[in-house]
Amino acid sequence: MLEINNLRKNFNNGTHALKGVSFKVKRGEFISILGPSGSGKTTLLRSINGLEPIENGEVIFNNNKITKENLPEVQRKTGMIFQEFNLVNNLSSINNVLTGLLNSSSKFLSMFYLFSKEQKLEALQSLKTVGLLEKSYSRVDELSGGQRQRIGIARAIIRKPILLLADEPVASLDPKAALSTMKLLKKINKDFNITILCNLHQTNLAMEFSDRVIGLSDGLIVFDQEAKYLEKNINKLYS
Amino acid sequence: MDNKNIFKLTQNNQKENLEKYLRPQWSWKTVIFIISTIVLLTGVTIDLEINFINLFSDSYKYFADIISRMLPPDFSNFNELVYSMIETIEIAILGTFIAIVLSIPLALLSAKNIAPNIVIFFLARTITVFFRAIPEFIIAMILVIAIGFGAMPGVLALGIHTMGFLAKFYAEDIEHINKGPIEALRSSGASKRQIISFAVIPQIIPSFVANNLYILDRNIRMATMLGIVGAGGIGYELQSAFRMFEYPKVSAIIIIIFITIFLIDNLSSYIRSKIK
Repeated sequence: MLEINNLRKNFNNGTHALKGVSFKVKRGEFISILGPSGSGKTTLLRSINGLEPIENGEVIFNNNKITKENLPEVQRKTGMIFQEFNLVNNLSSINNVLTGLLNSSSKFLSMFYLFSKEQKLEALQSLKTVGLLEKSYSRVDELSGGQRQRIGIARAIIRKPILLLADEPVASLDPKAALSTMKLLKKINKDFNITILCNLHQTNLAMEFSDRVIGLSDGLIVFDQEAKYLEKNINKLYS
Repeated sequence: MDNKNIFKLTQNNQKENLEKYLRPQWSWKTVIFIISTIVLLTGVTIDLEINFINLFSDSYKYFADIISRMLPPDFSNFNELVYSMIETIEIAILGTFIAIVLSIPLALLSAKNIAPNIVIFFLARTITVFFRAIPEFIIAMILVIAIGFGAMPGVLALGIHTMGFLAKFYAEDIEHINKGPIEALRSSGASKRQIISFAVIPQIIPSFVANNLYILDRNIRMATMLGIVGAGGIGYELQSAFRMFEYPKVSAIIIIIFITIFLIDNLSSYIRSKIK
């Protein structure tokens, strides 16, 4: 369902974030991307959903090469989860989740926070999936870090994506909340057959929850294998 | 040498080594700043021929005289004064409303991070600077000549002048918002207007309300003065009382203005404290 071919990314400050990354992803896979800070993990995910323009190489999504023209369609079918949650703190949980539907909402009505009954029911369903239905009308700055990340996940899954891109989703959480967030992502992966690409730092979480682990170092893939073989190669990343 | 002495020796050696890292508590920049401030203030005082010693030794007699003539305050036309004060508040409310309505689009165009392009950005910035630079007194004087005496010149003068202030405040708030939610919405394919509506406006709402209340508070104070140039309200009463040498009436007006400003100041502080 996703194919990355020789993806390269250079920034204006001279940083070569990606130096020719290629891999394929099958539908329903849970892939963790491990690598030290600055290895290109975030740039990789941002390039897949258009937050970083693709200049060299190609990304093929659902048999179509991602271009500027079909990017909105790709974005409609992908959800993104961020390390710092990226929620609007003084909005309610349900309004934050509804922002995930802006792409397919009336441009005029949505500016005034007007959504259809069906859309609101979808938002409530998403909040139920992440176990926060009772917090639907709480402001997100009243929630804990773990709960906020769940709202971020609810926002990402509301438009029923086929691919979830999670950029270090547990980096800002305590170990207990991190574990519970990873369990939730795994459940979403299994129950809804949503493919997940998840940037991580924690090798134990990668081994426990992923089908496959890709090691990225200095903009290059250093290993790509089943999670159970991770221990053998982990030194390649941090040596 | 016992252990205690070795410790003392090490401590002394460390102190000697550390002395090279000592720096004066006041840097040369601080000293230059203090000296320049003193020189500037002295120069300004000499240039304006202000003699503080004379002010305190002679002028107190004149102050005492005018204050004695202002007492006791004359509240005989209390109802009229209260009506004028209400008119002043109304001028300020309407002026503030006009300022808010005009400043929102101007702020969106003059915030660096969301302005459509650099030309519009500079144009919008120039407009905000221009209207901030012209005091409402001057705008009111021009408008009184153009459209006559009454509340209207006051309302427009306050609206136009404080539009510049509010647009600057909002634009700065917009430039300092958390970029995370914008990125999240961009990743889901939201349009620019939707991003403004969901990721920009909610983040500036608390300061938006606080700034509006501050400007309302300020406009009420300024509206009392605008009456002096013929733009209606209690300032007009104040000016008339001064012209007729009715000093007890002047003190009554000042007391009414003070009580009103005091109440509004406390009310707006209370509202601001409740906004998150």
